[in-house]
Amino acid sequence: MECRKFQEHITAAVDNVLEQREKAKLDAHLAQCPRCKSEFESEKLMRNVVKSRCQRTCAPSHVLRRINDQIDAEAIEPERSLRWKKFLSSQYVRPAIGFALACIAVVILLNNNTTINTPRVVEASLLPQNDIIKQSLVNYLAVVKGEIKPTLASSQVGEMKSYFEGKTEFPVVVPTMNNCILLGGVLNDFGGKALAHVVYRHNNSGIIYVYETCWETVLGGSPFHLAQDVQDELKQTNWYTTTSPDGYTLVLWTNGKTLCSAVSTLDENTLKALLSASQQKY
Amino acid sequence: MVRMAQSAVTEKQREFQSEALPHMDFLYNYALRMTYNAADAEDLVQETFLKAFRFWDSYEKGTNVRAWLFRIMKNAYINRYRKEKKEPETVEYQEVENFYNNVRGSAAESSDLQEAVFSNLLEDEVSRAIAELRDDFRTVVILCDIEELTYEEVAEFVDCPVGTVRSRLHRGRKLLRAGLLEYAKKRGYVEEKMKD
Repeated sequence: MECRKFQEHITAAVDNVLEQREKAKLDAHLAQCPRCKSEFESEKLMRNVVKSRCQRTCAPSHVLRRINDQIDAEAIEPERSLRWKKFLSSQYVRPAIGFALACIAVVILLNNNTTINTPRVVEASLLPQNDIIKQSLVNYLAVVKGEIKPTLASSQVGEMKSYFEGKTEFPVVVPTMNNCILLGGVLNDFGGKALAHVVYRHNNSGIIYVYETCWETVLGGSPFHLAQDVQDELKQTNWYTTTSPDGYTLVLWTNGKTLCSAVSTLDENTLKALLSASQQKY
Repeated sequence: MVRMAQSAVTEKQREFQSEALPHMDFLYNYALRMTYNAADAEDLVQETFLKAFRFWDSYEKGTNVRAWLFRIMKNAYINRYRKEKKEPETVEYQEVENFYNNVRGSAAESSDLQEAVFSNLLEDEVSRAIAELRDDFRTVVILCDIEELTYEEVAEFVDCPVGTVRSRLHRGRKLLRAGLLEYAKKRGYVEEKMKD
């Protein structure tokens, strides 16, 4: 439908940010399409109604007072949440670096019926773009939303391993996990370093997304970022688990030269059990 | 040692107060429109600033502090009010299709009529209708139409592409129109006009 193409141009035109050439095309279309013209008028009206009716208010004065009181109290006796401090020590806010997202797409129905019970929560919004944990979460969400398309859709572990063979400087881990079906995988890179991505479905009820890269590269500090205490724990125990505020579980583990990061809505114990059981087969 | 630590703390407080606190009204307004409850909005704002103060060292000086604060608040809002929703909202293609057809069907009224119907609505009704929008639509309508941020600024705040901001705004305004029409009908204004 012709009109479909103009839908978002209408929005941009209503906000006076539509570029000249596009605006001319839109005007021409509106001149001979009463429905779109009506839609344009309609949207413009909505914008005006909201602008004219909705006033901003000031926060009541006691809000500022309470905030200042909190800050004073905080300054005297800093938060003693060891779990937070431990994880959030030195990492955040380097300049954001864009990166190309991996391409795995599968159509999924998520059936979420597990509760998350975990000691550690990571504030993902505060992590830099090149952080391993942040990238894992962002990719996981993109997979679940169906925003990325597959390069290799396969349920055969052997086929998947062959696909990755020789393309990365680390062995790609394609675990066989109980109650899980392999859905697909893809290879890409970030900052010149290879990344492998593997996606599973657990029991028709959830996606497990696994992000993999070279552990030595991560230890080198560039191009990836991973908090020091996460690295330390991985060096000591080979495992690290945490959750995001939205309730997604992350399990990181090292397997020789490979660093893996799995994201899922499964609870921490289940996910870790699945992953460690599969490791024994290597 | 204690004296040095003391002055470092005061410095941090001073910095925070001069750079972060000025954005309190902006955050309060957003919180109010999202929670539609003054007490909840106040709690959310207080929680946001406390978190922001604790993580102040991780804020990169010179970057957009308002966007940084906004993201902290948005997370706090999700944690408090949307905790039960662990899955991200997926867009059903059929839903989009139906929606498009339904709303376009009602766009045949003259623009005079439309203007009359909607311009008579009260602030309270408009605010309610906005509060009834789904979170992601509501956010862009608030940030673009009330707070007057550009698409690019909203994209930075919400951490999504500019195209997504534009399409959410487009749908959000349509949904708002449907909501406002209901209020207009309730007040009898629509029927009245049609009798003329």
